[in-house]
Amino acid sequence: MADFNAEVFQNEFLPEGGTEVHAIVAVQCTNAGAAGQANGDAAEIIVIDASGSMEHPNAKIRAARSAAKVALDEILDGTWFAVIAGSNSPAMVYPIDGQTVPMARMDSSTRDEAKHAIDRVRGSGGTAIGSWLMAATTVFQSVPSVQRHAILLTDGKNESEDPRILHQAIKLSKGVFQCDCRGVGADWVVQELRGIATELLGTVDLIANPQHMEADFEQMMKTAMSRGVADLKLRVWAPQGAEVLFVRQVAPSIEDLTDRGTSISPRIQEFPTGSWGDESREYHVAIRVGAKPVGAEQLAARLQFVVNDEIVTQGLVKALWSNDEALTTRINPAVAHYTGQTELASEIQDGLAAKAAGDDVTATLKLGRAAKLAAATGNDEATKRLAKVVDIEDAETGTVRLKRNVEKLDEMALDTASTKTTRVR
Amino acid sequence: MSEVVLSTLTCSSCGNAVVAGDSFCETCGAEISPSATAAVAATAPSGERSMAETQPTPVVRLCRECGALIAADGYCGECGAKGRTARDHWEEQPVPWAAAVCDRGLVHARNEDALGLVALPEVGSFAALIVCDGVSTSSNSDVASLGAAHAARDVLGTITADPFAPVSARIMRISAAIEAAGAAAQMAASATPITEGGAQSSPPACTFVTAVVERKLIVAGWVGDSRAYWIPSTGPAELLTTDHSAAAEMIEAGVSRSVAESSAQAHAITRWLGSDSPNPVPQCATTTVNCAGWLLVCSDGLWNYCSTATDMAALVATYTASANDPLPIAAALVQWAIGQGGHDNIAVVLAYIPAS
Repeated sequence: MADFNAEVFQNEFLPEGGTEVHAIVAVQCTNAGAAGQANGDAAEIIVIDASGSMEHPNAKIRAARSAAKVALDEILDGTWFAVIAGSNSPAMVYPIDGQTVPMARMDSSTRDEAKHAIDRVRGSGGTAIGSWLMAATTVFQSVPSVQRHAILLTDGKNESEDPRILHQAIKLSKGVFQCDCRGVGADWVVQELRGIATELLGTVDLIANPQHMEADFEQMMKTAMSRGVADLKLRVWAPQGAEVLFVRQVAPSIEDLTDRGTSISPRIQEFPTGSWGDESREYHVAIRVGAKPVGAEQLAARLQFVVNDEIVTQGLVKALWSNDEALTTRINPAVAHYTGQTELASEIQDGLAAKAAGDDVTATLKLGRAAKLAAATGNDEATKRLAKVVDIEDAETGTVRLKRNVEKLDEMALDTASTKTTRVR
Repeated sequence: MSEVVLSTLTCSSCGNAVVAGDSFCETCGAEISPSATAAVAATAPSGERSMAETQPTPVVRLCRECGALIAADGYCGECGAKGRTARDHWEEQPVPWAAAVCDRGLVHARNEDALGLVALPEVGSFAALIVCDGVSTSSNSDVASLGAAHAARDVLGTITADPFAPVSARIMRISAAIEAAGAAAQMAASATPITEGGAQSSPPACTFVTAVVERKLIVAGWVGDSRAYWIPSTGPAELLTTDHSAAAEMIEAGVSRSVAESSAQAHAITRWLGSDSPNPVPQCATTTVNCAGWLLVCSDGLWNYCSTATDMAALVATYTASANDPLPIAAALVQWAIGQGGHDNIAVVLAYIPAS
């Protein structure tokens, strides 16, 4: 049984009339075990892009084939699995024979069969990611597994189907499986894959060089297999009359959960966080409560982490009204840090969007502000990636100049990594 | 000495545990039948002193602000208000003729008031009423005050009654006991550790007052500004104590009571118990009982709203006119102070003294 521990970081002191309470809750999971071992089965699907562009250069399709095979090696025996190739429509790569379900149990012979099947995958046709997701959903639902995860690889834009199909497919896949998305090369759309990964509780990343794909797939599947906790939910209890302003994952990456809550009682909203391995994540929660007189104390939120309807750990967010300015004006370092990191992510994304739209003034301003925030919050990786897109003249004031002839891949790298955060030092 | 175990009492209406001496069930709000309280008193064999031991008890509690259940984490499940702990509010009634109520009030986050009460079952025969008010500018004062009040109570509970000795000898004996009780309270207060982060503040400190009644003789002893009042049914009421406070010094110097007590420095006490106490030895005063009346010991959480003996007597009279069970009266006095704003913690210990 996995162990969980939650710790809350906040300044609980509010000035007279103060109503906004911010807190960071850090959750640590240990002894998670392995996927599919705690209760019920795990299921994995590898979806590789088999569109025509994957053959140009064919290094991409070759990398995809070997990466998929490496991923198969990481899937634990007994796990349900399938491989799907996507182009204008999805095609089952494995299993395809007359079995009762379109998934196979992993063992040494199914693994070998699947590898042979993957070797026969060739690229042709277009890119219709929505149809691939729908296929994955159908295949996943054919077996009674409780923990479903997919890897989705593409090299292109979703241009062979109505965008509404992708939108609908994401909606249908939500809650069925988690999906890590990878884009190879420079011809896919960061925004598109991020949309899928965000909704399906997965990661998004750029594989600039096909040679790095094997290692990336291996790591992704290792991580998926180490997630012995199938489904952890965050319950946010807020007092009567209070308003949950936002709920946001802030480490290891930023994910806004605010609109994903379901009301399970008048006081409690539940947010999905997906499956967990031995790891820690942090969440930023903001609540607006009614002001109370100086000296009063009240609970602003209970942050409960729930597995199978059982609370495994809880953190309390408090509000204490005080007229001592030394107490009420202090900003908690964790809250300050992650507020800065969240701003950094949106400045990068907005800046790049402005740049793409040809609005250089806004782009310069936003990316300048991003450079300033990256320096101030000690996010050296972000600074490094920013420096490939802008010349940072003065990080302290956020003075930057847009670089000429920026590599598209550098811009995409900056964009995909924008939500990755550094921890509080 | 019989020990009262609180959690063995249950509400006859809902079956949940109730606190000895409570008038109402914390769970369902039902009035607690007198038999439950009587059962507590009955556990003390005649002639033995009764005292209620107060400890935080894990009972089901309801929110004072919205009435919903207080969750296991100590906060209301609906409105998030901090649940009242056993330290925030408790009541004691070791014998039917004496009772005590302590409450956090509305404004302070902690209840730094504490009290102690020990009595013999026979009405008016012997009781020691104790209040300690923790100094809020020092750390951990809630611990110091409770430790001091209990230490004093344990000493005063051992007084050997000798009601037929000459009055002067009785006064000497009781004063000596009060001095010993004060010393024990001082030990407890100065032994209280300073809380983490409290290094810059002063060490834990509290006031101390006791009024001991023994067959028509009352001896009061005090350090600081917690008070004892004797309120006879006829004749003028007496404030037995003189505050060790800046206000009292101003009054001594000729400033009117109302002006002095509303001045900025009014609440600065000049004597207290604690490791940095300039003089922890209680000052004593005495009076004799000529008619039935009420002996009241309280903290400034009550007397701030009702300072003079005349005003206090008038206030007490409004609740004693139709009843003489001290517990609901003490509770009503506390409620009255909360109604005045509840700006401070409130401790009220009250005993009914018969005419003969």
